Amino acid sequence: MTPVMTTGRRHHRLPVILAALFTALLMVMPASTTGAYWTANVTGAAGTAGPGAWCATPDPSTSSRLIRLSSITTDVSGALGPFNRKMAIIPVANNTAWGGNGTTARSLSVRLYNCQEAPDPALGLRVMSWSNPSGSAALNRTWITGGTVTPTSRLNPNVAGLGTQLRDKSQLAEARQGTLLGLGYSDLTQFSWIIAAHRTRATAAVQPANCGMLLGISGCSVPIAAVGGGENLVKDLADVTPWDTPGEFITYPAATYARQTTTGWAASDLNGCVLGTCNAVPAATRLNATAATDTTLYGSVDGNQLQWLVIQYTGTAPTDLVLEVVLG
Amino acid sequence: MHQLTRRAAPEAGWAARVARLFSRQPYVVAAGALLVGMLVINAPGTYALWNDTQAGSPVTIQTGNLAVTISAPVVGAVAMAAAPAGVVVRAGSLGMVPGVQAETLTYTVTNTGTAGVPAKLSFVTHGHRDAAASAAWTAIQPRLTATVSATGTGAVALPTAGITTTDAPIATFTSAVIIQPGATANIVFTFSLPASGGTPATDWPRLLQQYRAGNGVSVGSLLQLHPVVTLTQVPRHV
Repeated sequence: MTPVMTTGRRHHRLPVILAALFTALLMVMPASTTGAYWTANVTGAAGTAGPGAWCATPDPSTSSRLIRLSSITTDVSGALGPFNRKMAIIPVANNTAWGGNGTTARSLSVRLYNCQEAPDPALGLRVMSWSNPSGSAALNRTWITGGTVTPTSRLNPNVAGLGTQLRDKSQLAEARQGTLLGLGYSDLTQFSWIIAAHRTRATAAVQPANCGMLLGISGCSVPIAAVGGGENLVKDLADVTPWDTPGEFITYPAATYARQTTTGWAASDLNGCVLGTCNAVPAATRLNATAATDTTLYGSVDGNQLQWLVIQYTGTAPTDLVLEVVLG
Repeated sequence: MHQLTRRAAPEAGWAARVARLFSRQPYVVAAGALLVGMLVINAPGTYALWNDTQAGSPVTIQTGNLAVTISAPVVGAVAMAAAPAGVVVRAGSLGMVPGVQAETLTYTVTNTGTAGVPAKLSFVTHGHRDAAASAAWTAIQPRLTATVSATGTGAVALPTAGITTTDAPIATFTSAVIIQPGATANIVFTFSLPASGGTPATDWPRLLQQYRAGNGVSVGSLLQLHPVVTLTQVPRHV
């Protein structure tokens, strides 16, 4: 009997022991937990953001007075020049199409935009303008594009007529007086130099040697060979560091020996030299504000009414070389 | 004998009753034990025990923390598209070029805590624009696209319209980016300008170049930004 009773008591003690242990654990455990967590902060140094260094020549799609040189593709190499030349002939007048205000005479000039050097030994550039060679409005004018005096018109230099006349004059090495005693018409009375005649970006408005007469023979000539030329052409003519300075274009004003007045060129003023008296001082090529029709403009010999702007180049045109025709 | 037996019986009976009580009422006993235990724990006394000492191998107990470092900003460039005809990027230029190149500022954030806990990345972007570039800012800001991203997240727009010449918070970026102990994450700011667009169509590369050149904006100094970074410990059960 006794062993049996002892075993039964041990079984009864087990819950007692467990209860005691559980109670002890409850008393030892902390009454609550914590939600604390770590954070860490740091401040970064200031970083600077802003525009980079780039050069953007004007986009010709935003203005028809802007001409990307490489867009001129009419080849005239079969004519006088030894080089593979491209040429554009553009009629310019101080009319509405060209942005003229109709009341004020304006001087003709060309701005040259460029970004960087483009070494090319074959590269050459000439920009000049001519007034009409005669008063014949019937002279053949065959157009590549357009047909009116607007910035988008291009006269064809390869079709006999005014186009070939202006092409051939523009390919000579100089514009000459060339007549005894200076009588008669001459190239000089029609010619305005823009990017020619030894001009560079440093001397963009320089004039060639004065006209003169020696023993009744005109010594008056204006070199119209391409400025600079070869590897230094772009560097000589344009600003090739435009990201450093705001003056990123060079303005080349048109100048002429033709004797001009604000009301136009009188017949007696059409010669660079007359009976030994020359127009020694070049003048800016002005274009009067005009409401004349195109037919009237074509028939005028008044350089203040219409100028034929001739742009020609040899070699490969840099894609960032842009010209802007300005009446200012 | 009989009397002797009866006299001894009370002692034997008490013990028997206690034994029966212990065996038949365990819960009463447990409650009693609990009560006694509580009294004993809170009662004065001593736990002093015999003890002995023996030198063991040294053990280092380390403390831990959560810490963060951030690098200096690294300026970079991301190509957007080929430069159109007439646009030339100066060699080595890292700033924005409209439609051609975006500028980036990259900060590297490192979880350098010694506790070995992962942490979540968040930051507040502060910034101001350069006072000397006010005219250029007026022209450029409406065209400016600014974004910020962290490693593994998409870019979100960074509002720039309210940026003034006084340094101030611009935007708060709370990400799901978790940086493991010893690991890094990048914060990348990106700035870009378009090449075209607007009504009427505008030659933006040209116009912005003129603003930059004519309004005293030295290259790369239109605005300044800096992030204030917070790492927050991630609970282990997460």
